[in-house]
Amino acid sequence: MISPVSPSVDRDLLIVAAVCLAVVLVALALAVLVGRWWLRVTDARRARLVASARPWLVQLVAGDDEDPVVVERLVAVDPRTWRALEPVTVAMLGKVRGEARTAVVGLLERRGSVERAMRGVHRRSAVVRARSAHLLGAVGGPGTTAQLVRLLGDRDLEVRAVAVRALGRLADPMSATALVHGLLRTPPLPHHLVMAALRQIGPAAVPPLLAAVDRADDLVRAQVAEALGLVGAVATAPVLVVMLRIDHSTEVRLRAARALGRIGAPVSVDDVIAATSAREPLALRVTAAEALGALGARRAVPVLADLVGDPVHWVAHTAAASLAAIRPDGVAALTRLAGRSGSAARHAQEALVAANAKRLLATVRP
Amino acid sequence: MTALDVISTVIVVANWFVLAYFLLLNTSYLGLILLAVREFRRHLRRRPYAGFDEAYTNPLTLGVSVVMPAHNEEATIVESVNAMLALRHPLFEVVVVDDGSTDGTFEVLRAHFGLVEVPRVVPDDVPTRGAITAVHAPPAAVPLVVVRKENGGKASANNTGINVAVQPLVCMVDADSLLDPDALLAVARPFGDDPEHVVATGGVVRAVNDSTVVAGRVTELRMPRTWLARTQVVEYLRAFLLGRSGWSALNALVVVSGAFGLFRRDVLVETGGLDVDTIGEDAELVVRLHRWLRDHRRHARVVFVPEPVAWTEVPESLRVLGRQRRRWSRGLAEVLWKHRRMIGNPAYGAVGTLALPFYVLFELLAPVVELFGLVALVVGLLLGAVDWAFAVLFFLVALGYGVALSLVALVVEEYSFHRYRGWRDLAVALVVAVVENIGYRQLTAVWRLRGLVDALRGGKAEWGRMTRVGFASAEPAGGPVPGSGPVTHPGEVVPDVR
Amino acid sequence: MTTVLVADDDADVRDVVVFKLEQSGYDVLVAEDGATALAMARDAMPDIAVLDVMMPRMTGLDVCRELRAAEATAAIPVILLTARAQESDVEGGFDWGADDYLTKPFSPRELVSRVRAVLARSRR
Repeated sequence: MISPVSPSVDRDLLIVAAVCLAVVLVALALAVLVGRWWLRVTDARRARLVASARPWLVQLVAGDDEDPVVVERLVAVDPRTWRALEPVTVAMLGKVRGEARTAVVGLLERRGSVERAMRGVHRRSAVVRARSAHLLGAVGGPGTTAQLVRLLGDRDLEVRAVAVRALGRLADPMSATALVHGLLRTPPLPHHLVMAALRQIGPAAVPPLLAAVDRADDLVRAQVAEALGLVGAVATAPVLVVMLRIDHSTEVRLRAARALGRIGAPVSVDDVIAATSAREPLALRVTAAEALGALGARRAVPVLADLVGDPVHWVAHTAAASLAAIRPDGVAALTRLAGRSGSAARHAQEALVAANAKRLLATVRP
Repeated sequence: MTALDVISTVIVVANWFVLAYFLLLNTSYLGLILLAVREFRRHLRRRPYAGFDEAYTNPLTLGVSVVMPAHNEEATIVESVNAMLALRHPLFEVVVVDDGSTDGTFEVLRAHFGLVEVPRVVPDDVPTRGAITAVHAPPAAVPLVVVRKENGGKASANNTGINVAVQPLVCMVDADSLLDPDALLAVARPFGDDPEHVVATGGVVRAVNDSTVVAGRVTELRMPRTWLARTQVVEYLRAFLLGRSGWSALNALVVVSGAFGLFRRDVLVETGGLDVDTIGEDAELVVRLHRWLRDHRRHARVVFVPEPVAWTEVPESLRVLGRQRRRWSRGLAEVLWKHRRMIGNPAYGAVGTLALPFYVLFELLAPVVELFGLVALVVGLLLGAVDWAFAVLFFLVALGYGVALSLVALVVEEYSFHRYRGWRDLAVALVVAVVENIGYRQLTAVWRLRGLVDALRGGKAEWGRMTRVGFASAEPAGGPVPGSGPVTHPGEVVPDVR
Repeated sequence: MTTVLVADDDADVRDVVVFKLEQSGYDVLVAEDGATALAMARDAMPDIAVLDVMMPRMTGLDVCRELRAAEATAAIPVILLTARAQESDVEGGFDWGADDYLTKPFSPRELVSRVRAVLARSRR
């Protein structure tokens, strides 16, 4: 009693489909099994190889004077073992300093790893380029900065990020300009990495940053302001003050305020105070209140004390926390406020307790 | 043409329809998995140079407030909090919100950390339910805040945590989830890589039943002992790890698990935090986030981070699992209904055109079609309207394809993260790939269908456990500020640069 | 013989420190996590402890605090190893009663001289 629209599935086709599916299922199951087997085998082999040579590496790192026997042992290990040991060696670089580090760098040079990395930055594989950049950043040495700066323009985002971090680790002033340029172009390099790298480089980063303060892009100016604060060049305070005063972008003004706080430039106190005015955007007011605490200027105390009574929670909260950081005047003002009633009193009490907890801790030291 | 003929015809058409449905469903999943594979490759390539050590010492790494709502967690809370405090991150605080616990949750915390009451002004940035009764902190330099409040439900407790949080990023975790040591740095990383656009990230959640956990850390991972939990391991792998990675690649991730999600605090405040009246509040939040961002012409991203991981205990009894799935299904229905305007709407990008229609078709309605398909097939066979060849075809497409997908998920896991190492675990996983599709899935379909019915009927059936207290908060303080809200470090965030 | 307790979850650091200290003539006890370190310190009463700050199962800071809290172990000098050069961390370390700290990356030779110096100070 088959109905007229009954599905007429071709049986042969069906069998073919079923067999195909079965084959796929078996193939997938095999793939999992082979994957697991391969993983276990390679893991075990790598562990064995590393274990065979690692004690020498530990001895090299910990040894008092570079023991020639140890170095020769490591230089002589077979290539297979070295391939397994190299990542361990590079990781070791990040954990020790002083002569221990020098010994490891020496080993990497003698094994040709550094040279290979210098070539590796030109390779087609992004993984190899990233690995090479990472190693160069850890080792340093002549020519590495130039290679890493070149990688800032790499087509692979990951490689660019590794290059930025590596340059930060080397902290070579020569790379400052290239890193600042990394902020300006599109798409930019990851900002937070560039900032961290510029901070590690320090004052050498100031001239290229100053050259970029009047870029048209708001975001770029904001980053530049932030970076100037991180580099901590007191001499740039007047530039930041101008940014805080007249820039049309809130973001830029806000970062300039924070940078001024970080630098701790006394000349900027009045302008930072002005930025806390109720006419200013909320985010700027909060940042400026925070910066006043970092600046620690007594002149700011009455202004901050007023702000503790501000109806906006985060303005009041930040102002109270900043007062607690200004000793002794700020703390005295907070104590007065805490004795009153209302929200200002509660903010003041909170800030006092938080500050007290910190100070108590400092005195508990045995 | 007899009545039987008509019925037969209908049955046959229905069967073909269901067949086509399954083909489409499984193929969509295959597509998501392939997208996920691409993401994983990128992720794994960058892993050796992820720069966690640098992020750890970088002063620009954004601070995170970890919000842990706790309701009657006396047995585990100290260990959970200790595990959170031991996470690797340069600047974070843990905010425990004791949501009107009736057991000793607070007492054990106070005893262990020596908590003392501290004055604290908590803003009304997002609405909450149930007033805060006290705020406590340890006397020493431990970054911990314990907030006690009247019971108001989990979403409300999370909102209280958001209000108390002082860092620019807020991480919402379940009190019983265990995080890998680098988990916080990893989920926070996209915010640093793309600060202008990333507003939320979601971490992977995996099942941890029967693995060795020492002091809040998973030290040895093993397959669970019960088949129900084992099945969920593979299910989580396929649906959560691979599925969500795929959606993330399409920039259409709409579900960030409440067990492990990280958000920009200012954006949470502007969008109003979690909805205290919705059941699937974690999904609702992310959908609303997408909606709000698009409505305000902000170009933003919600990113899924496939590794490291938050571990959670999955239900081991049918009763608990059934309740959970029923709730999920109901939550999903409510979220989709609430934001129905977005479904299929190109104004909402891939979320509107791809993700939400997918959720309607293949998540929400799947139990209906699945069960209907089974019934139609059985009836068709009984009536003789369809023959055995069709039945075989049906099983090949609906179930065989499904098993293949589960196996693909296992292959991907094996060649990417391979968290399980033993042979036994592998054998179990292979069996589960079959069980998940034949048996388990039909079982959950029943529960999901019931959840759907709950949603249609409305009311507060399953969720009535919480006693509700009236609103305790006013409108969020402070209007939207260009690019940032009232956070303590507002400048860390910048507006859309387009 | 002077006994040093070393606790660090990083095998590289641990092995280097142990090798260096043994080479310098100390008896060394090794722990891979904080809780074990604390138990060992209570059992074996080392003359000094070198603790990593970020360890599983208990941070070095917590171990230090626990040591200080009990009368028997309160006098054991502690040197902290920290990856963070952040001021608050160092401050925190002293708050818990640490005698000295070293930031990573560290110099093995410097570590030994610090151990020697702290021991000399505590014996006076």
